[in-house]
Amino acid sequence: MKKHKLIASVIFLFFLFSIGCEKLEENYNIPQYDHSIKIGVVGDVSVLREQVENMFFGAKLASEEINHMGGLNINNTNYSIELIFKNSGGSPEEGIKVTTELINDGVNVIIGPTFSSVAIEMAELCIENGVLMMTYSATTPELTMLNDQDFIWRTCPSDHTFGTVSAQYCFDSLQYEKAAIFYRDDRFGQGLSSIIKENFQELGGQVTNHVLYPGNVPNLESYNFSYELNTLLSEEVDVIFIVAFSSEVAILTNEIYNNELYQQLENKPKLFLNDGIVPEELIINGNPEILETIIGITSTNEGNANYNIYKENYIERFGFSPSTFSEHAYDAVYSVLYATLRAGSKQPEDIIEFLREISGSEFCVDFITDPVIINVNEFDVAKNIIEKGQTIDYEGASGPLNFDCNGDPVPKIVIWGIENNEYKEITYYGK
Amino acid sequence: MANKLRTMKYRILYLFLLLLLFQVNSTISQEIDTTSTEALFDLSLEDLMNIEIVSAVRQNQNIIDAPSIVSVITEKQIKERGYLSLDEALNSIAGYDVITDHFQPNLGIRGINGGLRTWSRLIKVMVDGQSVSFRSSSNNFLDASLIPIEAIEKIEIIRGPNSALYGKNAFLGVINIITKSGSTLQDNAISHYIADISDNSSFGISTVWGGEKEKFNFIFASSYSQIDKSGLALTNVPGNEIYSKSDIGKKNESNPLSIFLKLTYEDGKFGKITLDGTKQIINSYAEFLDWGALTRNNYISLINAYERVSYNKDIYENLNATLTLSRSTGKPFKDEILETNTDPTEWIEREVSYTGYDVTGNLSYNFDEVNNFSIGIDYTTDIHDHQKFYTVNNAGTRTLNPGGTEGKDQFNNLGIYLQMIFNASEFFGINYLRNLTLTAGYRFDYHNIYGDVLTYRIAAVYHLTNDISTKIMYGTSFNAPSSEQLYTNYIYPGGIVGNPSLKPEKANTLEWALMGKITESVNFSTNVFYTEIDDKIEYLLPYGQITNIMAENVSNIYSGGIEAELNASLFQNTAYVNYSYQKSILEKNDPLLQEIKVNTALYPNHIIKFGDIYHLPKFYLNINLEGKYISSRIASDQNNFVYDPINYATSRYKLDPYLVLDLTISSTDINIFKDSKTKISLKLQNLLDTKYNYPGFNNYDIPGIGRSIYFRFTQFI
Repeated sequence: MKKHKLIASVIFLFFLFSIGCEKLEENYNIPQYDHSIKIGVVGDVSVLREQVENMFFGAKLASEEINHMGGLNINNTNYSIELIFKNSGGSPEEGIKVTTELINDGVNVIIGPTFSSVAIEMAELCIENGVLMMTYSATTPELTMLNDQDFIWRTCPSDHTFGTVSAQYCFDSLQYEKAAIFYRDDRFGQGLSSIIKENFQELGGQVTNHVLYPGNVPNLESYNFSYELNTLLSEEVDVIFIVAFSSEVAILTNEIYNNELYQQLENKPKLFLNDGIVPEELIINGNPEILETIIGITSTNEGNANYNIYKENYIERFGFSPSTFSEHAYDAVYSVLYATLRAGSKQPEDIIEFLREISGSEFCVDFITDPVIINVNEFDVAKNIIEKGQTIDYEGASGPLNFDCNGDPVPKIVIWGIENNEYKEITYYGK
Repeated sequence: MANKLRTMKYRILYLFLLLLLFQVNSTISQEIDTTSTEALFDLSLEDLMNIEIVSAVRQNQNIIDAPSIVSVITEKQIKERGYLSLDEALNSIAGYDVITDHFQPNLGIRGINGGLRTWSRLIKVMVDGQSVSFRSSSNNFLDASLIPIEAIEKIEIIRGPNSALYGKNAFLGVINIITKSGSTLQDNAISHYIADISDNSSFGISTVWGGEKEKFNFIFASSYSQIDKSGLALTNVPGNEIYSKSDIGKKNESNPLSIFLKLTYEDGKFGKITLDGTKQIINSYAEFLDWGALTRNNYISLINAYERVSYNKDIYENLNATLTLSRSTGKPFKDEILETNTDPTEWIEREVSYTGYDVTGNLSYNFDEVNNFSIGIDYTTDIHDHQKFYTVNNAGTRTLNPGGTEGKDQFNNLGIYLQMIFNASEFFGINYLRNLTLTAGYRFDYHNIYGDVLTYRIAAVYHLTNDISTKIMYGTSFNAPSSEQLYTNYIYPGGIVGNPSLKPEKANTLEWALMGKITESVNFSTNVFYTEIDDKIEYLLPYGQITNIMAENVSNIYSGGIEAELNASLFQNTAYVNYSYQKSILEKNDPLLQEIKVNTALYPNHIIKFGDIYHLPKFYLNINLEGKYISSRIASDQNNFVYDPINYATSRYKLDPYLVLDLTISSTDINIFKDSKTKISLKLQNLLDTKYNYPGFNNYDIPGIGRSIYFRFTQFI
């Protein structure tokens, strides 16, 4: 009897254990495709995770919308979009490495990377291999100047535009005559700070100090800024242009505020921030005492209904708001795939022939009559129109792209500030 | 050089003391009749299976009858195995896994670990039924500062939910430390140890005093240690070289101090009134914290204490009433300094404190020896000064870090519970159900922050034989968000900020157990469990406009497993071995992959723990060999992002498995000094000098301690 009870207990034990077994299996939910167009999405995610992942999510949202609407039909084969994400780690070498991996994997379209310094090196490899590269956030003017055979594009505005407008706004509108520049020591920082300096001086302004800080410190919070800030703040100025990554700005505001020379300044200078800064992050993490001295510049989505639709869709999909440049990554995926559909080919040399056309550009293209405006998340509409042989004008989440002859978009720019701990748009430049 | 000389001096001292130990033993053994000394060893295990426990149903019950999965560590085991703190003792129990950042142990249970900046907050830890968590964070600091180890009579360890009885935070387990009293304390004692921990000198001293006179009895115990764990190098995440070999903890020192006092007056007519309290004082340079590794100046200094008065009386023959009133406090000391970097001109200070008042009342009616009905009510008010970090510079500027949220200062909770223990045979005289006892408990909590919570528990215990029982249990539990999780500001930009909309985590657990004695000298306990946790709080990495790490109720956990324990007493050996297997799945929404199910991080799938005390009565010696095999475990989410910044949700590295052995040679109570007993022990921790790592949370993993030597001398007075 005892034995039977024990056996019954053991059987019961295994029955009990099996109840939960189904729920105890891993499932990575990785999608499977019969036919796919592989697109590499490269970003410096290990350096700027918070921002770059949002850019990835922008690209992901675009691919999901397209796949949800049946994908692309090319030569009677239906293709889904398969994004292959890669980390370029903020280093040109890593950028080259992941680009090579993607090329070896048969990828011939790359969206990204994030940083200008990485983009320049990757661009050269892409040109050499006939790969189409479209960056969503590398703003360096060097990309504009490249002899790229039309393989290199971007959906974000060039720093040339930002640098010029920054200097103009401070000198002309605010009538600041004396400035200092504090910039991160990399290709992005060097490029943008030089444009600001040149433009500010050309307008008649004086740049007293042009100070760099290292761009390769793994933990900037532990970096001692005393030397750099003492140099930067050695003379009173009207404005300090700060050229930094978004993740660094909060730390820099704290460092500046805690500097003794800054405390001694009778008139505290304005801090002018470059594009790509996330004001919401700055409001939470920046030094509260100097938040209201901050002015920033960015491309704007003011009045862009497509951005609002994108934002709503993004929030619904991911559960949080998109940050700067994610809409540019979204537009990059759509631009490339509309051009692919229009070309009826997956080959980069065919796709680039139609990129300007689908963006509604007036530059370097034959005049097109009455293209059909395509808004955000209207892939099914666009697909029908293109299949009928008509042309489209994609009005993206980041605004009208209108790629120019260099493959750069024509942006609308906003100057913003912080008032009572809230983001406020001050004035606009462009259409 | 000075360090080396010091270390050498200690080693010579150890050798000398060891020789003395054997000399004393041999002298004594020549003088005393060894056959009578064998009686000193109680080799029977019967007590372990007949032991009375109180924690499962808040009243005395035999462990075989208790409607819970319970393990007990007795005072005797603590002594023989040479445990110096509660976490060491708990690490011998099946289903528990202790990791550490060398500031505080972090107890995981059944596949789940609280993770980043949570120290053992998945369980409720109590001293004689009084919760001892640091209420601002709900963390339980289980190191030597919690309670002097000499004050412990036994530790009752429950795996599984118990909110239906104990309310919030009795989530996945309950640990109730039952203290000695003046009447059960056998001897006053003073104990001292010196240690060489990875070539650093440490020491500790503790005392326990007590006694009884007429209707009064009292006990006082204290312990203080100076522990130096410097010299440990950070372990890089695989594929990364962020830290070099020279990045070592140079100031990893701690000075835990613990004080315990209990005074009891007992009179047949008046009842029993007890005044008790503990003071837990933590002073620790912590080199491996997520907010600032190797800063040399991260000095956490705080006090956590309670004072309580409780009154117990048998109102009628079968009706017992208990009333308690307690006050708990906790806050950092003024000299606490937190460092996020090595910049000496700037540091972080924090303000946080709580004062909690608990009033509890319990009425328990015994219908007969088994059947019982209990009703209880408790009311808690915690007055919080929510955690606020300030950045301070050497010019004296003190700036409040942003990110915090204003919240209610007062947390009030009213709990009402009912419990029935029912045996139909005893109650109605239905004989064929005599072996079956049912327990049902139900509790309602109302909290002014997170509202109503209902929890319940049902259990059936069936005696297969007199010595073997089987149990099936189902219960729900909840873990309440702490003031820190709700409202804290950040310590550094991008760091953790509070989330005022957090809800309690909730768990449902089904368990089946079989336990009992196989022979007079072998007993066993085995169980299978399945737990589902809803609204599990995760620390989410920030995305875009969410700029700081924030706790959110975003995932579910499914966890199943089996635990088996065997205790045996054979041929002068007292041995235990236990094995735990668990598989736990975290279900969450990944932004790229959407709904995914992945194995939980930080907790190993397999754990084997074993120990054997070989008794040598002729030589007045016990030789104890204990070991732990910990299988590989998945590293923290934070580190896995460093490992694979793209696919970190699914492509995760594992920390290597390891085996650690500890050897303790201890004397039994011997007479070195006239009319008083002495106990001497030598413990070699990590005998094989195994290299292993605990999970870290900020680009590195945390090395375990290498081979260490403890020499301990206890004089009973």
